[in-house]
Amino acid sequence: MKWKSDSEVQAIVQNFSRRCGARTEGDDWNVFWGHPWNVQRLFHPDLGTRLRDDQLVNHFPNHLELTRKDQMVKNVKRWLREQGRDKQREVFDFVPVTHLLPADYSLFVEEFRRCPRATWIMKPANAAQGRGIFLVTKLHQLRKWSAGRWAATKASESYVISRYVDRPHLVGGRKYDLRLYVLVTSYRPLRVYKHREGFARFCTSKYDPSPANLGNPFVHLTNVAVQKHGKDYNQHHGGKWNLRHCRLHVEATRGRAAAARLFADMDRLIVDSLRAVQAQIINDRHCFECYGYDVLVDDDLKPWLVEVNASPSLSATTRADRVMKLALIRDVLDVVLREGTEARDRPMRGAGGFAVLYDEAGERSAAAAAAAKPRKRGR
Amino acid sequence: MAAQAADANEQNDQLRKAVEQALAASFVARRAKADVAKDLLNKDRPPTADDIRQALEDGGWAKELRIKVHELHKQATTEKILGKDSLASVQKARKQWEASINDELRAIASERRVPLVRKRKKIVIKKKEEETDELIEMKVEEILSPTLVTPGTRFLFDSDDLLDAISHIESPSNNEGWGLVKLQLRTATLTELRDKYKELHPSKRQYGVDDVTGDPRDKAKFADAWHELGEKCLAEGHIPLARTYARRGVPPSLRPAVYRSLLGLPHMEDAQATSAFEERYYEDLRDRVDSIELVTDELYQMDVQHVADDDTYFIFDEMLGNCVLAFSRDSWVPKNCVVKTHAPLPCENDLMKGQPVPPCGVQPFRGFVSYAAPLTFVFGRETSLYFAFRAFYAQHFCRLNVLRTNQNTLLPLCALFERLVIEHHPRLFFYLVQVGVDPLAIALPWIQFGFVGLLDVEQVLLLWDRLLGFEDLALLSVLAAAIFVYRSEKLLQCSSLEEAREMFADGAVLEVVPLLQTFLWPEGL
Repeated sequence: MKWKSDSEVQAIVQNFSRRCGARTEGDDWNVFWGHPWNVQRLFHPDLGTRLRDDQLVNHFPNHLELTRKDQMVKNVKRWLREQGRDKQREVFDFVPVTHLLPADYSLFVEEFRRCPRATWIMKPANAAQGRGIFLVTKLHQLRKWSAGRWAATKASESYVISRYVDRPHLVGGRKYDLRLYVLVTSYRPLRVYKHREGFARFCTSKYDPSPANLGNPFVHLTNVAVQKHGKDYNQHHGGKWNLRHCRLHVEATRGRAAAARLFADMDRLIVDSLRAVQAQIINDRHCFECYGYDVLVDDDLKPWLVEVNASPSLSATTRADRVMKLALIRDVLDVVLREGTEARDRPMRGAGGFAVLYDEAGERSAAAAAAAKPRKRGR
Repeated sequence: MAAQAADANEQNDQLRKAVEQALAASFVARRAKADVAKDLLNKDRPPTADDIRQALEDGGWAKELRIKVHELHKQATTEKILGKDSLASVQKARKQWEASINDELRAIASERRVPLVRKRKKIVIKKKEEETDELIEMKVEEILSPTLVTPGTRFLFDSDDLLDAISHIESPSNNEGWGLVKLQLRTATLTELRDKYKELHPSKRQYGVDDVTGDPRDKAKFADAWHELGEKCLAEGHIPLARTYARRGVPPSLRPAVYRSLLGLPHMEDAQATSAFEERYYEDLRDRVDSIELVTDELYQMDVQHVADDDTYFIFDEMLGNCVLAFSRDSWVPKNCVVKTHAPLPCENDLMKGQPVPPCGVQPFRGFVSYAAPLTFVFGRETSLYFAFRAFYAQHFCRLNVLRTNQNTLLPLCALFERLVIEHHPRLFFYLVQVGVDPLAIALPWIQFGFVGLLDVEQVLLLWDRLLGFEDLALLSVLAAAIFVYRSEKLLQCSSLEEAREMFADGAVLEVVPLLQTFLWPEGL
């Protein structure tokens, strides 16, 4: 067995050396862990690569449908509309209204006027790590800023603007978001695993939505990349809190039922977001993907999907972080290698920290069995 | 003479409080009687005992009366630890210990040339408040916040100093045992412990074990049933019932209500809330923190800063800092603690109206904030956190900070730990002593701080549930001994104190209830 990777982080190198034989630079790999760009190149039609049966790769050929925020929101909203039409059940909306600027500017203005007191958050569509981020409370702020700027904007320089969740759930007076790890081994039928480890990322400053703080990232942004620059950033924990602790705190302060509902809603959010893009993703049987879900919880304990990352950071900022990420990749390999060798058509039970969250094939056969049963009895 | 007068005062205070409580209870009883009498008189026959009971239940009086009677009983049966110790050597050691702490505090004050008490200088942070038409990009900027601790500040003392004081207490009988506690103190035998903690027996289902292990459907069923039972106990308002319940663990969502009830705090419909009196009282303490600066403030703050580095409690550093400073101003503490922690440092200052420094009578030491930290996972609001923390300290944790021979205080608990390890695993204890590792040097901070810092907060709370349930701290010694025996194989390979301490760096994986059960009932079911 041979493995290939363009990454040097410990979580990858250590786990792959242990589980996947020798490292290779050539095309003779069995498992390839690469950056999305490099994997996409692999699938480029010009290259005409044909993967062998015994090859696995860590991304699906396309993922922007899920990981570009404006596209994800569009897909989810459309899917929710379809769901709402089909069945008479309550629609569980978990994505804040989002538009692409300048392309959807008029749509945004319409939305803005509908709720004039709302705050919006604007980020460059193609950048990460907390650069070029604005909070918008007034339309004329945006007009003034964009005057003369957008006429010459290339598509690659557009912005994504979303309704800001301005009443986030606070712990110790501070805002946080949650990072959850989700593994998809097949889109059709959909098979999803969720890892038990995850964490909350906290702001270093207390949350205070007053206008004076609109420019203060330590109050509003939870990215570790941003918080790291803060004077109060702490090396020992990096502002990260274990997911179990989060649940314990919510249970004590908001009650058992509320905590159970929040965690069930988050599971539903993950599955629904994936079902929303199920048809758009090219379902290559050589592929699996480990996503980092960023979820914000509002004060009513309703989760909102902020973003899905196709290559969540695997470098570690603290000791606990290192342990967690080593375990995460170990468990990813465990699932995909066992699925690959043992049985492709059955989900893996008891795969380290991963538990099956959704198994479409299994649910279908269970539903078929349930439908068959009463008929039998009728005879 | 002065000490005797103080003790006499103390007893008067207690008496006065008992009378006040009895009056309050009789007031409730009178109102209940008046209310219920109308119903009973309307009946065409003389009321029976059952009628009266029913009428009290129907009128909603039964619960309130039960709580009042329990308070009276508790007041009458809680014995305060006062006066001289029965052993002269311990009495001497305590006096020395208390004097050295106060000397150190005076030394710190004079080195830094600050008075013990002074008016606080107001720090005003200007904020930009005006709204702007410009879109402001979020930028990393230095924000000025006041530094709370002067660099170079040192603690008055830490657990190592306390250990040193313990190991220097002379034994009147020249006892040369292996342990550090040379005194011959009465400690519970294993049989007595098994009997006292019989509710922890593996045959009884435990919250913290049976809700997380085993068959998924089975554990969910147990979790639901246990939760339901807890709600029933709370609805009854029957405190002894709630106490028995807590012995087998409290689900996180019921902890706020169960803890408030077991700590004797006023009953609130929403257990996260506090009474109007509590709110005002706490605000008053906070005002005093804002207006007066004590030399101890920075020392308490320094302790809180360690919390800021902790990956479990860091989010609550500000809340904990506020609580601890408010505590230091609270003169309720010395009046209500089961035992006085330290000797108050007298202070002649008009700002403090003759109160000692600090008014709570607990001098700041490294780790003090540990008594409040886990409660941030029970109470979400600062005020509710404060009163639970204060009551917990006054009823239980103050015992862990005094040098006395009384049962259920630090010295007998340390002696119990040493004796249990020696009895259970003599080879281990002997080996450790030979390589220069005193087991108590490792276990003292665990016992002293209720295992905060070693165990994960979930486990700490499962342990504290049981401390409240059994109203007894011996469980701390049993757990410390259990951990030593559980880790004996590794410990038998260590060769220094540092190495031995390092072996417990992964303490967060330890689980309280299975450890206690294996130690108390090694033969299993």
